[in-house]
Amino acid sequence: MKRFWHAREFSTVAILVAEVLFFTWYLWPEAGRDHSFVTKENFLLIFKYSSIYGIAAIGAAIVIISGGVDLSPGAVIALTTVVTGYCFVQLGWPLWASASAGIAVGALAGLVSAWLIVRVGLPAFIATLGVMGIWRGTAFIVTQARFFDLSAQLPANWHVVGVSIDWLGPIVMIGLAGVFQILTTQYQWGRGVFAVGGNETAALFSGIPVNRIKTSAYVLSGLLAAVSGVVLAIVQGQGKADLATGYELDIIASAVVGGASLAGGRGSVAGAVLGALIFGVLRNALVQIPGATFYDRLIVGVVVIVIVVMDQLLLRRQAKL
Amino acid sequence: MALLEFHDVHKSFGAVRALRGVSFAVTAGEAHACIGENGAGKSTLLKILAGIVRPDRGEVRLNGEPLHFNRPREALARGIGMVFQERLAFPNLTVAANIFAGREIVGRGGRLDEAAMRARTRALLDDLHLPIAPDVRMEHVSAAHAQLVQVARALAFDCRVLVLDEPTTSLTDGEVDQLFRVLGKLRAAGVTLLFVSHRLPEVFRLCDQITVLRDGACVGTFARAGTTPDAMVRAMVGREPPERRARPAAAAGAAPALAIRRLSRRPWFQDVSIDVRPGEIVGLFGLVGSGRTELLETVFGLARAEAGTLAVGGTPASFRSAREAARAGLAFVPEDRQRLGLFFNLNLRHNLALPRAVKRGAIRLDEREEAGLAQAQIDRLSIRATSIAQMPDALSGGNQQKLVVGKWLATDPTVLLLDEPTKGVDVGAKFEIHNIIRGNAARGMACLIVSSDLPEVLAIADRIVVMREGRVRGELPGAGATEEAVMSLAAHSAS
Amino acid sequence: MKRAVALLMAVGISAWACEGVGVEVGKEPAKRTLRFALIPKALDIPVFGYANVGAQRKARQIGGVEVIYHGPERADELKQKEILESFIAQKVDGIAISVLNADFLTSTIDRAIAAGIPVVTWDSDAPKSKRIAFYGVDDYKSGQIMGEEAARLLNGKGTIAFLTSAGANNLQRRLDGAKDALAKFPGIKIVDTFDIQEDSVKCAQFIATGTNRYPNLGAWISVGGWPVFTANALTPVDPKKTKFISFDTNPPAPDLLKAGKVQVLLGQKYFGWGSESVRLLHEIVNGKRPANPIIDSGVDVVTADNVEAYLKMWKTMEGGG
Repeated sequence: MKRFWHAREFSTVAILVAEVLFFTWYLWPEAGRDHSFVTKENFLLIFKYSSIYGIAAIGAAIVIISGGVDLSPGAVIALTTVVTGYCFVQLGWPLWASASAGIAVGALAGLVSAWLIVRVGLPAFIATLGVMGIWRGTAFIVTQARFFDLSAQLPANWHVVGVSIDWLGPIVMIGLAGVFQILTTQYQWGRGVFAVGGNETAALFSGIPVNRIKTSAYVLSGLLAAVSGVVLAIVQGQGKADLATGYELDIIASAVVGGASLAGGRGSVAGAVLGALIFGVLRNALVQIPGATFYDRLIVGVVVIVIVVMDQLLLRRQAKL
Repeated sequence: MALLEFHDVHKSFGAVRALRGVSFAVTAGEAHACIGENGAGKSTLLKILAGIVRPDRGEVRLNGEPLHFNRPREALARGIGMVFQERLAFPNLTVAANIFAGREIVGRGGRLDEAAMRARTRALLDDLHLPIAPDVRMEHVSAAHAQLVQVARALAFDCRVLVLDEPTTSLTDGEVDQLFRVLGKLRAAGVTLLFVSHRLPEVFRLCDQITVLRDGACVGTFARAGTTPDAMVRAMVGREPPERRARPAAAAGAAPALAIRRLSRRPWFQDVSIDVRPGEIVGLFGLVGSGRTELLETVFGLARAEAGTLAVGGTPASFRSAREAARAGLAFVPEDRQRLGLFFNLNLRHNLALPRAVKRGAIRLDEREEAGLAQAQIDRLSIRATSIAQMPDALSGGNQQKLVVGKWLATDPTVLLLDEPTKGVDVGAKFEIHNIIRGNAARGMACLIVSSDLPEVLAIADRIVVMREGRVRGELPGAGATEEAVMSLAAHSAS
Repeated sequence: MKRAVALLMAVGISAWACEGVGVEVGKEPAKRTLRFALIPKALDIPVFGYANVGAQRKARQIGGVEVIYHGPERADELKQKEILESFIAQKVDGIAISVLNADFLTSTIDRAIAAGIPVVTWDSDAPKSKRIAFYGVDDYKSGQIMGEEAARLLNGKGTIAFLTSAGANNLQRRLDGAKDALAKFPGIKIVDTFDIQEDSVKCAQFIATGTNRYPNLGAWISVGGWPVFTANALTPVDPKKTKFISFDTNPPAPDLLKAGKVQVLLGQKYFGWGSESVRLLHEIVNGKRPANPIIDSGVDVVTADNVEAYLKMWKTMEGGG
């Protein structure tokens, strides 16, 4: 129990709960209205849009824990929607095959980043910055600045075993977060990711397969961004090259707010998903506040800094104990 | 019979020939030392043993069978335990996770068995009498304990050969004793030791056989019984060590260049008063954690004192920043040259010229003056560098340290503060640095040297101030002081 | 443990605060305020700010109406969709939106209508959706006006170059209108059409290089406002030789007209986008639907003759009076 209270995820949960409570209070409706924030429909909406960032943030967290950074997930998301759309609309493949093709392309994108970083020896920031441009450009070349409309061939108001397709993103996000939380904390591979991020030289001396672990981190980052892209293509029904432009920073911010340290060796997958939800709640609630639209970015920026500073203070206090 | 055998091992990094045909054998059950100056090839040899670097030629045999270098973990798997320096720890992982890093105990389905690892860690730490909890993160463990955790790490798995890489660098004498007791127990249990170090007293205390490396080649293997420390120094350096120059004693009656009066900064030190006169070398001795480094940092304006006063050359001073201290004529050579002493992205000229420029508040830098200044320092301190445009990481540890000293001497200080000035440098460089300090003292500079190396303090200091638990516990004249006298002041628990 | 206590306190305070507000829920509701959402394409396009000014003024005039202006900070269709969906989930009383990508939003707009929330579009339409009305310019018609004005300035003889941004439907229609109108004048030749890719810096470059290539150009026609959003883009153009006709009249465009750098400006009803949308939504909520769903806002043709009067009107509108 004591371990739970000390877990970094706990403070992220606390922030999320406090945030929801705050907006529940702040947006309390005037007489005669239903509460506009606390509804099942609205929470689904928050989950639905947060999952775009959240799924990719799982990969971002893994990369950051391993001591790297990946700037390409936004571009990989766009490329995946385009590839999935191309296979489904243009080539007439079944949906599962199109989605698999999209995910395979994402994993390949991650492999290219990994190759540049591990084999060629480029700094992760530079390698993924370049790769980001390559995949975004590829997406534009495939679409020729048009887009693939998947929605026309997907059932309208689609339900799978009685569940609306809107739940796809949230279910995938929570499922993958669970799987990777366990893999990173309870399995040797995850321990290796933390070890490489904490001290790469020491990891080498300990016989940890450093290159293989770094490669796995970038491949997973690409793969998870691709899963996010496939969900986006299916739920939103579009494959378009300019989707998710600039989302890489929101994705990295989610991981950082969830406890990941860009210095490496610290962070958590569950925290990254919670971080994405913190921003999702913020984006959703600010829509309701008159005049808030111009403060959007500012508030998001302040939230990132406040949470990370709080984290630092907590760490320092723990160090003194 | 030879348990571990290096046979004609060659390794080059680009144009640098790190190892040129090293051959020696470690017999089962013995304690074998491998010594040499920095750059002699010790660390390359260890990397080859650990499977991180592949030799160009030659082989390493364990029990007569060669190691396959394409499998990094083979040495570990075949019973070679490696004790690395404490900087090779994972600060973000717990002690238990550190001990099992790369070789975790896994249960069914590949899941980590945390309970088993914690229990095993507990047992190992108890064996070593280490009061550390297995769940504490390594970054919260002291440097000395971190080093001992590295030992525990090697012992976590049955090992027949234990390789130790400079394991005592950050340990106090008491902790060294503790480590050696553990090593003695292991030897009794039949474990073979390969002890890599440049600390001769420890080598002579522990080892039966000594192999000396110089410039990537094997000078020879000597039995302890048949050799002396001086002979080993000659073998390592390849020449006679420089003479210790005699020096006129400091003017005893002169006014202090630096006067520290009742300075306090809790919890590190309190009520510290020390005088350093022009031309005097004062050695500040104490165990790790006695507050010496913090004292120097406070004097140099890097931290604020809670109480007490400072006077430089008779003028009261209170520095809010290092720059103010530098302007008043102070210079501070910090302990960690890798982290605090040098800019590894700047070349020698820029490194050497920087403090002087900062001290003078220069806005525009005069390239030619800088170059002249840098060349002068390189010549004066005989820093072995090809040019002033070289980068510092191309230099050996000893020359890097001379560089740190040189960049501060370029500011023409009246008071020189040095924190562990010869830590991790080889014997030759150590003598040279001592001579630089003596030479500057002879020209009237006041020097305050923090060192944990007791023979060094005894050799260089005119006066020895001993600190323990943040307080000054006594003062001895340098001439005639004995190790026992100093240690009894430094180590006694408060009576 | 301390954190847990702090969290419980936060929960307690929030609950207490909610309680305080909750008491009022029991009271008999007064006539409730109507909440309308006004969604622009993006916050970084200056003309949309005037729509907000117009909408807020109209809301004050009508009384009992609150307008929430909220949009994506960049033209990001996914974020615009999230905002639209948030407003639907939060059950506002009406939505007025300038649609970034019609295909992408059509189904969402239909869902709002199905949920009983009236939707009108302004500036940019989603013609296939079930939105109740569209208020904006007839782009083809305003293109024709530009063509005719150019022909008038050139006395039916000379060369013309166009500035446009490819891919936007409304701009294409303006371009078609202008080209069709110019086809009636055999003495006029269209020499080039530049795609400035929605980038005002690129626009300035094209004007400079175009002026070098066609030194005796008769007139420029810009179907968007990029050249007149800054004072400098037109510097290379010699007004004695080359006339300039541009869309959009927001500052500093009228100053350029007064300085003689531009001869004709076509202004949209920027303030009307907001005020008319609010008026329409208010009427729809009160049971009155517009007879014709397409409401042509018309354009203001501003020349040297009427620029002073136009500026005076602008000032009153901008003041929100």
